[in-house]
Amino acid sequence: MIVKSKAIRIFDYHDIDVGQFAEPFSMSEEELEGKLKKLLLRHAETVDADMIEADDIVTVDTVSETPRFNKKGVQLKAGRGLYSRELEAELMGMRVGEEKAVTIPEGEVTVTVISAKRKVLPELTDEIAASLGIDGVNTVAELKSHIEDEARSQYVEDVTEGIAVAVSNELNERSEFELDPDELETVRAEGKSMADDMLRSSGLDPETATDEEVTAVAGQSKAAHYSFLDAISVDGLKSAVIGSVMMERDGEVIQPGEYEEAVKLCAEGMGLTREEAETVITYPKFLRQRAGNYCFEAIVKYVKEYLERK
Amino acid sequence: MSINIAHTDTFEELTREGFVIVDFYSTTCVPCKMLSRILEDLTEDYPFVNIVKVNVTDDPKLGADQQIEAVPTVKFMRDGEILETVVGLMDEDEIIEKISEYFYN
Repeated sequence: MIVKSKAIRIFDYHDIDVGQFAEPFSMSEEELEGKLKKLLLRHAETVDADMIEADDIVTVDTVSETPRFNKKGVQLKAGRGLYSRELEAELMGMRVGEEKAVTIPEGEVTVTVISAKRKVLPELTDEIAASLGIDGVNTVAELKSHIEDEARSQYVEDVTEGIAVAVSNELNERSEFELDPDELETVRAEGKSMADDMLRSSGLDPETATDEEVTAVAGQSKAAHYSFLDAISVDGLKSAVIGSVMMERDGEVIQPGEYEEAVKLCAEGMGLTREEAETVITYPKFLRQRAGNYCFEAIVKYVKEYLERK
Repeated sequence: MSINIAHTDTFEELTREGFVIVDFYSTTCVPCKMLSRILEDLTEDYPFVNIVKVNVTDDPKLGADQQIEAVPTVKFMRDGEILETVVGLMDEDEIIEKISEYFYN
């Protein structure tokens, strides 16, 4: 028996509409052009620039009373404004070796251009597309299609887990449980401990932290912070109940050594001894997590298949 | 810019000189993958900024040594000293802002 709590009725997650949580995938022409440009940049030729233009990689020496602008060998991407929007504007049109005194909000700066490099993008032709070495891509059209496919796969990967959490929450809401009081008390204590630890890791004392202090680090009031982690813990128990039923249905068994491996990972990840890790991830907790993960992985698979179909 | 993968035995060497953005990530974390793509894009735009990546799944000791409690965690470092640590996913503009703040000061 993985958990003592029971399910009275388990809603079929296949009947939950994934579409309510998912924005349809789309890619604008502008995004496609941007991705094409980034791809071509990797194959761009770097040449010495005669006269500085926007996006050239420029090295300058600066002399000023302001420390930020009194340096040798400063590298910047012209026009992006990371160093100084005003100074970079003055660089446009300057040549290597040229010196110029400029006035910027931070003060007077004398700037000398040491070098200027420019990336020259190849013209996008079928030949260039084929030379990128992407499997199945021999033409510009195939390259664009490949970029869209990649972006779609990326989108699915990025949103699947978040949507799976929403589906899992709905599954818990629409199912009915008979939660074992002792087990419920245990997971609630774990939730409180987690909430305490989060505050401690932000330098707060859980006992004395004020609403204002908790809001500053957790983005919600102290009561809401504890209530949120309590709800997550109870939901975790419900997922474990559903997962244990699914494991039994599928003949999924916990393999010898799985718990030891979980303890080892916990010890390595948190810098604990094995004995200390065993108190963090107790065997009942491991069983709940294992069953909860089994349920969640099934939901992730379902969500992913839905998104890929769309 | 170059992206280097650091391990316990190379971390100090890769971070001891100049400004470095250190990305601590794990193999299966989705936000880590998103951050990784942002950093790869930045390498194209800002080739003079160094990025060091640490996979705490492969190298948990280094993660523990660097007191990494959650991933992704980004450390902005100069000459081996930590300037700022950010836990959680950062967007491109936020990273650019940090480069502007730390790289040139």
